[in-house]
Amino acid sequence: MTRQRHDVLQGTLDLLILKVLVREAMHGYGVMIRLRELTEGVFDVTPGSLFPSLQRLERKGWIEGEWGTSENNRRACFYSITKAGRKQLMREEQQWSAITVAVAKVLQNS
Amino acid sequence: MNRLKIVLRGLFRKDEAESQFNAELMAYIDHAIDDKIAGGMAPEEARRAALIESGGVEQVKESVRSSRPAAWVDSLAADFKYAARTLWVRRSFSTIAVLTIALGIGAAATMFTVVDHVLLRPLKHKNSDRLVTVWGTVGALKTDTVAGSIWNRFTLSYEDYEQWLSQQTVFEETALFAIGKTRFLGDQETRTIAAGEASANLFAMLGTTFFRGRSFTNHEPDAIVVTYEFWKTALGAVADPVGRRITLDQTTGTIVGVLAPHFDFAGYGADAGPNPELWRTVRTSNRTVPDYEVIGRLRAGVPLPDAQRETDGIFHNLRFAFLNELATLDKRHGAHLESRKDTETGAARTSLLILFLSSGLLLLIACGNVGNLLLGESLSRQHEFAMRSALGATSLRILRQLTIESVLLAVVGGLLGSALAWLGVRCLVGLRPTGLPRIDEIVFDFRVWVIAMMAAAATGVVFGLGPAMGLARVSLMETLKIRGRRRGFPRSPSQSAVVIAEVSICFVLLVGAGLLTESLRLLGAVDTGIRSDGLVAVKMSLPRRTYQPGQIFSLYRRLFTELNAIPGVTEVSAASAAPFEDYRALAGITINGAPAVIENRSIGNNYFETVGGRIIEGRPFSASELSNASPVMIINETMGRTFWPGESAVNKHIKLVDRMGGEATIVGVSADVRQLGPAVSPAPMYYTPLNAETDFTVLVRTAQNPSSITPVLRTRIRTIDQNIAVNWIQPMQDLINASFAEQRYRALLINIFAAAAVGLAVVGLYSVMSRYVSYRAHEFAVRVAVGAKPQSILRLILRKGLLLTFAGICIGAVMAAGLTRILTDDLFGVSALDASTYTAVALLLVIVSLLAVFAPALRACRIDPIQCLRGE
Repeated sequence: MTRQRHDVLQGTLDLLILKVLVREAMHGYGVMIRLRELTEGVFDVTPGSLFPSLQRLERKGWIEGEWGTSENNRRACFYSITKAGRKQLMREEQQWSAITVAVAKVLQNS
Repeated sequence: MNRLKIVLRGLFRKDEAESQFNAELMAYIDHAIDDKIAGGMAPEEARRAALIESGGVEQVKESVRSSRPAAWVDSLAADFKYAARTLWVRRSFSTIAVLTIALGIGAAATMFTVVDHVLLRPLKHKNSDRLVTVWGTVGALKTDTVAGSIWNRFTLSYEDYEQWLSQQTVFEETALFAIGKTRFLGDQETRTIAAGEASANLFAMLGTTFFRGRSFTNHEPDAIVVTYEFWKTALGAVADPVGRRITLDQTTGTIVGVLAPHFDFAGYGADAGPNPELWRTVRTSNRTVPDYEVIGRLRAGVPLPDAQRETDGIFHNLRFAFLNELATLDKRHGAHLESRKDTETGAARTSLLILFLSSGLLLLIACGNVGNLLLGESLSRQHEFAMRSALGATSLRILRQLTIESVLLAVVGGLLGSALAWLGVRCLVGLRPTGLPRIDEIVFDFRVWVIAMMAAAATGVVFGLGPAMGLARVSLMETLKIRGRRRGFPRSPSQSAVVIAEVSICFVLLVGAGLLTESLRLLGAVDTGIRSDGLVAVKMSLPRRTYQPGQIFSLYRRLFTELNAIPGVTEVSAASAAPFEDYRALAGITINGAPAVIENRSIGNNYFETVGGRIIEGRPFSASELSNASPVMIINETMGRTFWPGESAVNKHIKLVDRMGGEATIVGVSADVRQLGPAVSPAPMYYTPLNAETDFTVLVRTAQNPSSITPVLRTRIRTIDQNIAVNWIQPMQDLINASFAEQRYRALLINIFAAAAVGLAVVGLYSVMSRYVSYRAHEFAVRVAVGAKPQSILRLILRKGLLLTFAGICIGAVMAAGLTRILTDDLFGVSALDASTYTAVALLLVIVSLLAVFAPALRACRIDPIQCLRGE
């Protein structure tokens, strides 16, 4: 039971990270801050789940990491979305809306 | 594919990935600190807050690590590392466990190597599973208890063979061969060698390849095929063996081929002997000489019983040339078919299986000990595992950990055991025990090694998993609570059960070893009917062409005179074979009209005085009877008792059914001599005067050391005629020893196994009792503190230990009574249920286990109550 829920959350986190990276390349901390801002604090992502997610996305070839210098002059790894990542994002967005619509229907009807 | 690459990269470029991630994580935390400082926090406080918020640097690293695809390899590797480390820390435990496994696996793998190569693997011939030996059987022997059924196997004549071939339908190919002796005139020496005659298709049928040249055809009487070994030694490995001429029995022949190395094909039954060194084509000129062994390959799909039935039917109507008049006495002759593998290895089977079984029992004891060791260890590690599961390890993970530990032990033990087995096999083969067929095929090879390692690993899993399962169920709270306080006595009846089982297996092995050793002792002490000390046997053969019967008699006289003149020689005689020589001579006779097949020897002048036998009734042969081969006989006591019970056999008549026919008169009765070997109880036997024989054995009694006279005998015979081949010269004591050789190595091996088993059982009992004492140390301390005498505690422990031993002995006695039945045929003069052996073994086990229990018991009654109780 718990494991399944974890997977859903992880899948969601992947989707959100891809979405965040569509606008611009970002480093890990930046992704965390942006997610917190966008979800108004609902999604408080810890490094313990953020970094495994980033590495998984990189392994799948959806994002690419490159070392660069951040706005406060620190070296950090900046992640940008790849072509394959954009395609994946589209697919997942469609899937997500389909699911939310379906779930919403169930919740309303019962 | 891609996935594999990632896994591999994860494995090999782990450090690089790790350090890169560390940098990334640091960057993350630095950014967080920057933010917090910007938000107005003091730098130190900001760092603290950032670290706390991140959830712990190590934890983040761990979560990233375990999300990698290669994570399971890492954790397994970690488990292995941890296992290796814990085993290293507990070195003494690990060493004992590894050595125990090595001992068990080593013994079992050694015996398995032998059993596998001798009994299990097919013979090296082509399609050897369908090769069958065909023998003739004689009706008169079917009910004969004297010679035993194994001797009811007779070779055929060429005529019989052809008759049968024209009628048989079950064999796709057949060949016949005979193995005899021929005199080879080499450059350095003249010696008698085993030589074969065979139909030309034999080599092709067996799938034998040629090192040089080809086989002979059926129409090349002069063609010779020699073995690789003959080419190597007798011919000095000449470059061009094919076409060379060699002299055999004063005729010359031409070598047409050299066989590939190790052509293992000896005669069996009556023709048992060494591998022939050379082969010639079958001489079919005398079609009725019944000398040929027949081997055939069944058609695919024909079962042996069907072939047996058909062959039996055909053989029943054959003339069976060898039977002569015997056939008229009993017409029930037929065929005996057996698979070639049985022919070659059947005689060794029981011995090998007994030894294999013993080594298996030893392995069982070793397993029991290792299981007990692991159980004991795991009990003392309860706390460690309780702690680990408190820290979040699942019970599956702990189970895996324990299994890995025991498998690691087993694998190391297995490797060591394999080395032992390799060594053991080399030693065993190096001893060249008599009666072990296919000995040159026995090697510790890859297949055996794989099986040995699998057995070791299985031992590890099975005997490691039991204790591990028990631990995985351990109650966390209970275990952690008693930390630092006395540990409760573990309820482990399984440990006692293992000890009982070990003692009982020990009992079985010891009884087996005891019975075989006692047999060997009785064999050595048996009254053979002769005085073997100071007696030397000289096996000779004369060149057939130059020695006509008349000359042979004069040679006998000359030999006796010349050898008698050697200083120290007191008596000289001769016989067709020396006592205990590997030799059989059976003849058909009729006594009072009833047919019988009787073992016989022909003997020269002065025979009984020379060997140290006795004439108990009548007289020895007279000089004239000996020189003109009169139809007279001396029978042994057993024969007299069998056929003329209660009356004197002297002057009775016996009708001979051999080729000469006629009647013989009994002139004397001798005391029994165990001619067939010390182990074979005397059967009816008769002696006739030594005829003009070209192969015979001279017997010399000397007052000197028998081996010192050997060279003198050799040179003296050479001066008489250098064409006389001296095949061997052996002191009689050596012949006796050779006849025990098989029993001796078997008894030796079983004794080694039994000794190892006792050693292991002692270790097992000792360790269980030690643990028992340390678990109850607190209780004993309390008892002593409230006034119990140390002796009562000593008694308590001894009683507990002896109880286990007694239980083991009782179970062992029942098991032994069932199992030693397979030894019955191999025992001599002692019953498989011999009470004194059983008693001695029981006593030995009691004494040994007392020794094993005494040390822990002594420790128990020396417990200092003050120290022990204060320790809490």
